[in-house]
Amino acid sequence: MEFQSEDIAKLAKLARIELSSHDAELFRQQLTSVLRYVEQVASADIYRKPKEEPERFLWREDETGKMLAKPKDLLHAAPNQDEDHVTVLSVK
Amino acid sequence: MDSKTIADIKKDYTASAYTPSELVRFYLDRIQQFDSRVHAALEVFGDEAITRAKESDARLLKDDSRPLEGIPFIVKDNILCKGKRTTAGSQMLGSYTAAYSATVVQRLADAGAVILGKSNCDEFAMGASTEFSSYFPTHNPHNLDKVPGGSSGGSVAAVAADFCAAALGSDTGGSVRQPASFCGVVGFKPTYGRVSRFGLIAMCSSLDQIGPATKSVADAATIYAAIAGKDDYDATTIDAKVAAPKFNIHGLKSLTFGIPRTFLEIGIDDEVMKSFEQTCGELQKAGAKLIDIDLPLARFSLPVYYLLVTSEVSSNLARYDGIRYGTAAKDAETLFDSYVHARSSGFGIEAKRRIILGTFALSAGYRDQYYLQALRLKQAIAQQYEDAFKHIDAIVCPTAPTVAFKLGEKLEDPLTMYLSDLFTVPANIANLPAISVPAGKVRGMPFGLQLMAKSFADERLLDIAHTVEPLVGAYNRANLAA
Repeated sequence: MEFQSEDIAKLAKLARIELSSHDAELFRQQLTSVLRYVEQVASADIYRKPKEEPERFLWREDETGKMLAKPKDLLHAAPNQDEDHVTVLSVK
Repeated sequence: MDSKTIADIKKDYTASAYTPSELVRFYLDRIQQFDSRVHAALEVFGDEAITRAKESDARLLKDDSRPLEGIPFIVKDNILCKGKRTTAGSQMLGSYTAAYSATVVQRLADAGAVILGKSNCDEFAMGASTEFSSYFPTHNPHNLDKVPGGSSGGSVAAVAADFCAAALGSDTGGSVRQPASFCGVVGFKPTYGRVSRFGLIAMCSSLDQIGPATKSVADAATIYAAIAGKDDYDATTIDAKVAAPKFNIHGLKSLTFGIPRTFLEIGIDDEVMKSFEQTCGELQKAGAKLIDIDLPLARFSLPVYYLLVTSEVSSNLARYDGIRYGTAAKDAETLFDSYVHARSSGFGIEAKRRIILGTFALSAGYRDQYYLQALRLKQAIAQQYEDAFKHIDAIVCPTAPTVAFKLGEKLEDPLTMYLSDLFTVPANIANLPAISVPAGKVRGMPFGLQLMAKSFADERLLDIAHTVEPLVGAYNRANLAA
């Protein structure tokens, strides 16, 4: 498969990334070449059915544990804060 | 104090040859003198490291030392150290300060280690040369025109340049072992589930594993014993006892090594292959039995890896939206615009490339063909390795298909760069412990011998590598004074 310009534009939009026209064309070529390489997974002769592993669920008690981080420090990672909350633009 | 292993340092402390604070000052001086050429460190904690070392001085005087008392470390910048800037090599986290420490960092601190600083890496650990750090590229201390490998290039270069006793890196597809090979140090990737990933900035959660870069196999084992084991904060860690290797294999006569010859032939430098054959000859002379093994699915490891990695990257890096981390868009009018601004300006080219390919691999209509097929194949590859280990003790092969290449040489061609991980990726895909030990030089640059053992046989692998190590090569500090 070969990526077309519109494929890259659509994927970039889905990923919330804006690409310059130079980078979009570069990615089109580079990702086509990478995709051609990884496409060989389709041709793999999986010589026998992989063994079925039973699904395992690890449960733990729903208990309050030791807090490793202070809420204030976690909040400070956000670029925009107001007192004790993170501020965001309103949804329009 | 030159070129000291952890084992040397422990002996020297016992003999009062020097103190932890003297050793820390020695390393800080070396960093100051030479790192303007190597660019291994992103941040150095000078005064704080000396203060911590003085605590170790006092403990040693009182005969109250812990397993890593006063041992100076450098930690890759995708591993959190509380209160310290942690960027993962990305502008996206340029102003991020860790609110807690990674379990491995806490365990090192509890064992008495001194953290000297944070090391450079490819952005979010995505790369094989450390050229994709958004800050600066790291140079190979053995030849400053060459790359140190990646993505833990800063950690490994720091060990090669003797800026620290040892370092921590992370290995998702070879990111500790491949640079270890390029820089002539030991690099160890434990089995996934052995070392907690809590506090490691996620790249590909199902494969990421933290491992040490050291000057000897014995040091890798010492660090492994300190950091491995169950962690309540990482549900993928297994609850099995971590035992320090016994180092009780005497000679290689009882060991059988497998060589995946047909797999190696698909893309190896002729001289690396020749040197590898010589290394095999040494092992044989020492009594080891070497047999060729056939792993027909091994060649699919790299394509499987890039499908899984890009898929998980597109998901893991979705959290960087400019709201909880990163740089906020000042002029954005809508949420959509603010996401786009934060991500377009915060991520570098390799991160964007992988996010976009992963978005494709997971998209409706393609998910089964790419991502799910990669998962099926991953399981089949692991099964093939498991079968091979019924007849052999370890697999031996070169760690990387080439020695270190020139800075800039592969920057424009992602696929060629990805092929640098050809021989390291299978251990991640099949979930095997793997280690690279220095095995001499090719065209003046170091290269490593990789050993892999069966899943969760970490201690056994370290034991075997410790026996092989003196037969094949040794750590030699890069000569930066010239």
